[in-house]
Amino acid sequence: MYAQDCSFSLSGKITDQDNGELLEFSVLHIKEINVSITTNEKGLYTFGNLCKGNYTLLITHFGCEDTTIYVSIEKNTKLNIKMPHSFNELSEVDIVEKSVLNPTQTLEKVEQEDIDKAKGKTLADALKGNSGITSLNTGATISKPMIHGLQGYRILILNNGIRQEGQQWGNEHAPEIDPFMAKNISIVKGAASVRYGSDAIAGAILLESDDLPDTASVTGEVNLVGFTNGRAGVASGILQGNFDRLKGFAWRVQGTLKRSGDMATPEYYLKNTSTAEKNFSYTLGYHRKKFGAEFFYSQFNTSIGVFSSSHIGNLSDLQAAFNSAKPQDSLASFSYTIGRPYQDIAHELIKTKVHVHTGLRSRLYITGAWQYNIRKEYDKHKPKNLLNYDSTKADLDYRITSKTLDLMWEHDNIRSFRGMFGASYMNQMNVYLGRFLIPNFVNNTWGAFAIERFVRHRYELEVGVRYDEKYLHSYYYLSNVLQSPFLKWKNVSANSGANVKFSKDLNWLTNISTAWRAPAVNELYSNGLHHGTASIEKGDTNIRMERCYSFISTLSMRKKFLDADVSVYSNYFDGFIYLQPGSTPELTIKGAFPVFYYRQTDALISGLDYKFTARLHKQVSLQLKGMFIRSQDLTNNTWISLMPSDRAEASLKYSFRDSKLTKKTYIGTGLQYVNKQWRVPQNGDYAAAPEAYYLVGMDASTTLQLGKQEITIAISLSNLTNKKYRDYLDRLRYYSDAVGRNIQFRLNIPLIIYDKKN
Amino acid sequence: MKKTILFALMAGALLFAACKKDKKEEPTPSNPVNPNESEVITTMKVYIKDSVTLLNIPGSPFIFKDPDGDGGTAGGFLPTTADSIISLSANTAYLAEIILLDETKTPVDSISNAVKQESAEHMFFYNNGDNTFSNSANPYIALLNGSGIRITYADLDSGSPQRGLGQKVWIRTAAATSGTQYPFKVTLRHQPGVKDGSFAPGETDVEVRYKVIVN
Repeated sequence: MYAQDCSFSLSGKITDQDNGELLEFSVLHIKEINVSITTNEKGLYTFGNLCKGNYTLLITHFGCEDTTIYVSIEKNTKLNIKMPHSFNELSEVDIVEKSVLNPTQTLEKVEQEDIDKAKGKTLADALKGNSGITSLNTGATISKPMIHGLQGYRILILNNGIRQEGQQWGNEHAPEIDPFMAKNISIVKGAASVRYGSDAIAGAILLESDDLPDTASVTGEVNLVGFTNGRAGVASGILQGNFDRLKGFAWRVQGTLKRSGDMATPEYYLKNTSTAEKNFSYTLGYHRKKFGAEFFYSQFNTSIGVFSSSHIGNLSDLQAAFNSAKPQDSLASFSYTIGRPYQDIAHELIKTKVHVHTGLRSRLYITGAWQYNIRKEYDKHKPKNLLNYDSTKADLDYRITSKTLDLMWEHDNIRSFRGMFGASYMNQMNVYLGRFLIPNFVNNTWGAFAIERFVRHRYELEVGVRYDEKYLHSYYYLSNVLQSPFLKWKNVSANSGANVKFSKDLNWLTNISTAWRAPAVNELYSNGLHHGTASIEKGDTNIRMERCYSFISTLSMRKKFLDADVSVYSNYFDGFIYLQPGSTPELTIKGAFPVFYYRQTDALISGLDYKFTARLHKQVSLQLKGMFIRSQDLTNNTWISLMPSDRAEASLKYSFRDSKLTKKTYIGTGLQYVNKQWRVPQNGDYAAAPEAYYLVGMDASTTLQLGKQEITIAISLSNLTNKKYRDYLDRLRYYSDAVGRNIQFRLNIPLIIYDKKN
Repeated sequence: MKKTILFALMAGALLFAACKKDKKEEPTPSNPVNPNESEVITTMKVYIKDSVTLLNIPGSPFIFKDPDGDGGTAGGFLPTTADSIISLSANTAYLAEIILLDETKTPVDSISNAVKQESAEHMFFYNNGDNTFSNSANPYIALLNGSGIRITYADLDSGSPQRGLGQKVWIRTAAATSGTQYPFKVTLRHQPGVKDGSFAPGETDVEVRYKVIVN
């Protein structure tokens, strides 16, 4: 026996394996003696007073893969360690990097809890849990997401990487997507044009399905949702698997059925607000070590009843509707019938994606997609003079076919650079078969982009540039003479950003970008009456492209007791396209109608989003989130209409301790305040903006462990006090109150039918 | 396993329900639909005749024309704006008839005939703009407040119970209005399933504002 010598030291330097950068704040932990230290600004570390023996050294650094090294100490030892990056490029199976998103942009994940609560509702409802996101609604069943007050053409929705191409021009045209298909939803706030295409001035919404399983298994999930308001039922299921015998092949089928009846306000039912939805998709994937291919097909079908009192004859009718306490077609009784007027929409998507590893650290993606969108709208009444009127034919009928081809090559760290280069092409054809509202057109667009990112451990810098050309050939009749104008636009979008990591829990990113958007067909050529709003909209063929310069800066903190995210943004528009009310009404045989002209102005839209989550206690957390937004028309020195008002939401959540039978159990309550929109242009609306309102909500959820089977049961109550209110961003506010209390019941059953791992 | 089968069946059922696509309706840019295929009302003609002589009074018919219906080109009175003024004599009875046309069609389509065929779901209203109605039961009578003009419906619809249609009316004037022009609004309301003899239900198909003067 000899006295143990405990005077040895272990010291060295931690560097980035790729670029030799010295890594400060690396944490080294010796398991046996349970001691942790942190490297200094030169990446150096020293453990002192070590006894002779074998030790397990664990090194962690954010952005790097955790590394374990076994060392034997017999004397003072020097050990320099090179840390690898944390991507799985050497993995046995082919893993496609999900980090293709620009990290210097404000990218927010939609929380699973918000996705769950919105199950059976619209896509926009799922997004509204994120501050800065609102929606433009037509009642409770038609909802268009808005990012920082901008919607429609100015945001892109990417369904598994494919830009959703439907009939975006209408304020009552909701995106044709089944939210149940998406496992992950994230939102890019601020211009995302360089990466996704010139239209994404205000941002992008990214919906991603789950990865296909890579081990031999058959698993799935069943979701059942019921609502008291509308007496709605939703059933959705996923089944996916990996073939044991056919190595590399995986598959998934997914489907959703939904039926909902008339929605109810606190005092009456809204006639003809039933909906029916039927969606499905399937995916087949093949993955090998350096190659992967995926085939995806989805179909979305919906019939949506449009509240019958919202279809009116003229301005006098609209004023009468607004002055009456109850709408004409308010009902005392409930019905599931979808009558006239209604929308019948189908959207089909076929996608093929191939990726090839072009080296250890780079990949090439080729994606081709075909989309077909049919939008049929049926008027409230058949035309009087058409004796041979075919009531099965829609009065408005638009069919748009879009073909896209995208090429992208991306590389991981080459020295300190990561980047992507791409090109895209789209051919689009629109045809109408019913009444004229927007013309037939052929739209050809192509673009190319490059984004490079300089990545250090403490900061990242990014620069991106994109060039696009767009050719638009339209066809329509004017006084029985065929018009076929041809327009083209070409321009550049650019983006630069910085992401600074002050420490592991404090991150600051700033992005400056410029983006542009070519005017859309309705902004150029529309010339018709909108029955829902009793207004005439007139396009202007002289409208030029709209240019936006935007700035966004986000500070994020993740502390043990507090999460905080604060974003400030400002978008300056040169030639913002909007609808301006005309000074004199237009006389028609139906009476006088206000005329709205598509015009351009210089606009400034600025705001602040915030979200704080305080964990007051192990089981109690308090959340406060909200937004402020100001939208100025600089040319005319007024406000821009149809912008969200300031709002805030506070919620309290109590999480129960897990037990043998239950886990993830919580109960929460929330209070939402929406201010009155005081900032509206004068004479730009038929009725004053509605008053401010409060809504109370509650929800509870638990996951039961029944033997091997898990089941999640949840309940959410919205507008708990059955408050009577109207919302500025709801088109139906002219006619009726917003919907009243709604209780949602959810059941989630994950299925494991067969899994080789177990 | 039962669940798998159930789900496979569900998915299978959905797979067969593919998009209803019409091959001949594939988008072709060179072939836009001529827009004038749906209901268009371009013209309203108000014929006012002396009830005794049955001759048109000066200016009759009073025409409002919107060449492409609502939207597009704006409408107006013909031949001049002055034709929006209807001059009547004091203490006289007239017979009036409304004709609605779709002049975008060849031959010209009579909308008022279509209205008569669907008389149970349509009704014309006459007032000074306040949409009031003095007698919303048979006999249907409208008083033009101010001018002292009384309008009595001369026709009934095909519904049960029968209600006024107002495509033909009698107009009776009182004393002269000493040069004052009073608003005279003609409205056609479409009231399918909700017609009850009053103005409020349904929606407006036609609304033209004339002025009337009693000399």
